[in-house]
Amino acid sequence: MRYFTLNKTRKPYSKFPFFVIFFLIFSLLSGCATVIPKTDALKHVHDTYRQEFIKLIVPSTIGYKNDTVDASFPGTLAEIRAFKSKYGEDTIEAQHLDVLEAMIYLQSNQFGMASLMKKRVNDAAGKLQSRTGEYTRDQLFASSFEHLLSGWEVIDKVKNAKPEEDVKSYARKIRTSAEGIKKVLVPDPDKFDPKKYSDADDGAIYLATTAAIFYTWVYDIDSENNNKASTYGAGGDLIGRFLSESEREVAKVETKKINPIGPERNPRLRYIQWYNYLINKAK
Amino acid sequence: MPLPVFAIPLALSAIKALLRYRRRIDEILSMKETTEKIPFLLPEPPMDDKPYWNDMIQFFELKDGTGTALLLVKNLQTTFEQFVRVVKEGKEPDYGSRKAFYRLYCEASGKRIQVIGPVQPSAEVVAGANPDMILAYYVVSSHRLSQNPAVTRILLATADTLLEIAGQNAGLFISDPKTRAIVETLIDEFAVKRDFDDDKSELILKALLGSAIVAVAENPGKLAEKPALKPLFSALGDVRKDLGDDFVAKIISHEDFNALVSKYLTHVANDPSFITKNEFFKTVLSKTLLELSGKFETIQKDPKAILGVLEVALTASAANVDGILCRKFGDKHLLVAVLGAVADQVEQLGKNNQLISSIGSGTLFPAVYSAVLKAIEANPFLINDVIKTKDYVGNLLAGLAGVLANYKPGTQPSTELLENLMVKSLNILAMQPDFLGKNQKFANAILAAVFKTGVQVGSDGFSINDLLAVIQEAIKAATANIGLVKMDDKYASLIESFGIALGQQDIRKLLLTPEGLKDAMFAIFKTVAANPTIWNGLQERNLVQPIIQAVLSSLAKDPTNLLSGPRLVNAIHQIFIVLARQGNKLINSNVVPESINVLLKNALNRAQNEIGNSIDGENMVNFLVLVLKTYIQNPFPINRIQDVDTLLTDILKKYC
Repeated sequence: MRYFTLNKTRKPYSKFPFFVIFFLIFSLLSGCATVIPKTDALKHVHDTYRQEFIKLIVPSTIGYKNDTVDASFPGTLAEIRAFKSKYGEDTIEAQHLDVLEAMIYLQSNQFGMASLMKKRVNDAAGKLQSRTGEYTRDQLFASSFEHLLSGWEVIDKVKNAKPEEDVKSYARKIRTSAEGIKKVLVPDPDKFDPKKYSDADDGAIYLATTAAIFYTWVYDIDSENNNKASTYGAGGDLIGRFLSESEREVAKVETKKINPIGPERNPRLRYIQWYNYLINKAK
Repeated sequence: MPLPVFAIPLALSAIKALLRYRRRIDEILSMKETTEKIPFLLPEPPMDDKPYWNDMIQFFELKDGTGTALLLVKNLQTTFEQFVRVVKEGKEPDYGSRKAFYRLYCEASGKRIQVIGPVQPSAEVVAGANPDMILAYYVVSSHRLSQNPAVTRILLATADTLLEIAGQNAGLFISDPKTRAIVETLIDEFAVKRDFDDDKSELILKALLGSAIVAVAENPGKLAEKPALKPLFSALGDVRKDLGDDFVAKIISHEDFNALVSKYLTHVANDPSFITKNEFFKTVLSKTLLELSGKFETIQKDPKAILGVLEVALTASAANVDGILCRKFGDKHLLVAVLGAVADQVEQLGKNNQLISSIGSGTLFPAVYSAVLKAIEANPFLINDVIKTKDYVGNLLAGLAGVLANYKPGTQPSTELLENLMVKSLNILAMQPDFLGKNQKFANAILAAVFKTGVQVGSDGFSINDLLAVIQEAIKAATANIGLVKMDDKYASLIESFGIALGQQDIRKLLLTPEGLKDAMFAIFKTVAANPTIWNGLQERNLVQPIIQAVLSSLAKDPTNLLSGPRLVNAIHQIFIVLARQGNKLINSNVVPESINVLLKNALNRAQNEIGNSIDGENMVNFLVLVLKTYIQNPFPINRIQDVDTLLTDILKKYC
């Protein structure tokens, strides 16, 4: 230790440098805005998304577009880009945000952008697995994305179809999308293992309900070539695989009388209501 | 001085350790955040136009109707005709047309577009819902990405909370043995011993830890070796099972909960006997909470009252482990038995007394509970079972309610005001628990007298705090003087008489301020306490009122203007002292109140003439006292003016 000396003419060792060091340490730390920055940034993305989602909800319930609201989630997308540029594009969080971004494009009818996300989302599927072996929402969304995109996009075309336009071919495409989702969720009906689907995860039932809605479009577009009972039944059965016994019992009751948005706050209510509807209509 | 070489690696490793710790937690928490519930729309279902084809046809075919006009404007007549033909043939019209017409029909007629599938949330429902309710309908939850659930969640919740609140000092918080004990206790008592597999557990754990951290930050350096949070956390954990998460959440989310935790952290720091009774105290606390929940609906719904009860239980137990915490009434712990007795009486009396029923919660209930426990502690043989406790509580509450009912009659005091009065009165009474235990009716009578005085004095006289100060002084005087206690009702009656007399307009003017009025009352207590036997005798002969009137009415007419404020208070005190000192002459009617009145008036008139010669403010009171003393020693008919003059002149010559 060359800075120590036994020469009594020099001043003894001082504690001053230690204070300088620790002052620097704590200055460094106290200069940070938050102690868990990545988590806070991700929470902020989610919070912005929720706020912009609420704005999206309002026009869709009254049946026509509110031109004053930008329903393309600009704030969320900007924050997603900021997050990825700061924390990288190859992390689990980035992959989760890829899935979120892709779903944003679907919900806001930006199908071109959604198409550009196809490969990235598909690659993310394998990385978003749970270490418990059960499926996760993001993993299932990623695995089904191609079918989700095709279904949503074709539905949009159908909605904007002009009079006298032949839309029957769209029914076949939408059916393909529904079947594709079904294949992701139930690759082999004889080997279906419900234990792979955690009770804490609603990804599968969301996708099953999406597929069921696709089926309703199929019948609506081409009732001539599709059987209502089997088409609706296919959707109902798929949803039913992911409902618990008690939920299936609840679905038998008149669920249409339950206020869909109310203090009960059951996020699975919409799936139960779809199941009820399809099973009854399929009879 | 250059930086020593060996200090640099030390500094770097310190920096890395700190950053690594935060980075690791950040990684874990951000991974957890990726699986948070987020909302997603389902695809829009198709419009359910088919049931409305006939309605649409009617609408668009209506002559000179809106529909007809729309078709014209949009150049859709031909398409519509085709649509109608196909429908009437029983076939399906082309897809684009039917949907377009349906949309147009709904827009034009103001009808809501119906879709295939279950009821969709309407605009009205959404408009009336808050964002949380809306999001709750649309959220899609996710399974975790990590392996371990409960353990990870406990660690994450703990680390997250520590970082959020303790911030840069998170690591220091758990490296200190005392605060580490808090975290260990919390995790052990609340998370490890019970199921920790849902959001509510996590929320409750975080809230409790947050309260503990805040309490530690507010009481630096005051922690015990083993802070007494264990029984509190453990009791809350116990009652979650029986009373539910929401009951516990209401308590711990209340603004006063942090203050309660502070008390628990610091209160028992130096009491080894309490610390050894942790398990026992936990049992008592759990039973206390259960007793509360089963007893009294209002209390159960009022977190402030519950917290107040917990605080009272803690302070009473810590102050007297053997006498309160470990004691039982029958087969029930004393704390629990007393709580039940108080709750029963409040509920019972509340049926017939609106005042009690309307204020049987909030701060009043804990105040009653506290007062009763203190009375029991001070009088362990007097109140030693549930029946006696109920009697005691019943009398206490009935007395207080009766007193308060007379407060400002004709006005409608707010419940808040009355509760404030009752609580503060109880607190004052509780300061003398020994006295209160044995002399409850006497104490109630004092309260009644003081409040009545307040009524008479009116709104520009005593304030509530003044009244409470007077009560406190009156009781303090009584506790130090058995003679006053033996006066029983007469003491209260005396207070009332003096209070009313002092409240007369002309005396109040001289006293200048309510402070002066209060000081005068204090002087009266001292006066009466100096000679309770004589005052008792005077009261028995109905002489008190006339004497007070005689003295005060003369002082009120003081021509010298020297008697006001503190000097007047002193005059009142000294005059009544000397009157009582020779009280037998009054009792035996050797001297009558009218004589005193005339004598004092003459003395004051004479004093007026002597200003500038021998009388000033300094010796005025002394002069009056001597006049009285001399007269009472050798009374004569007061109408003998000559003798009065001679008396006054003699005293002026000798003493002024």
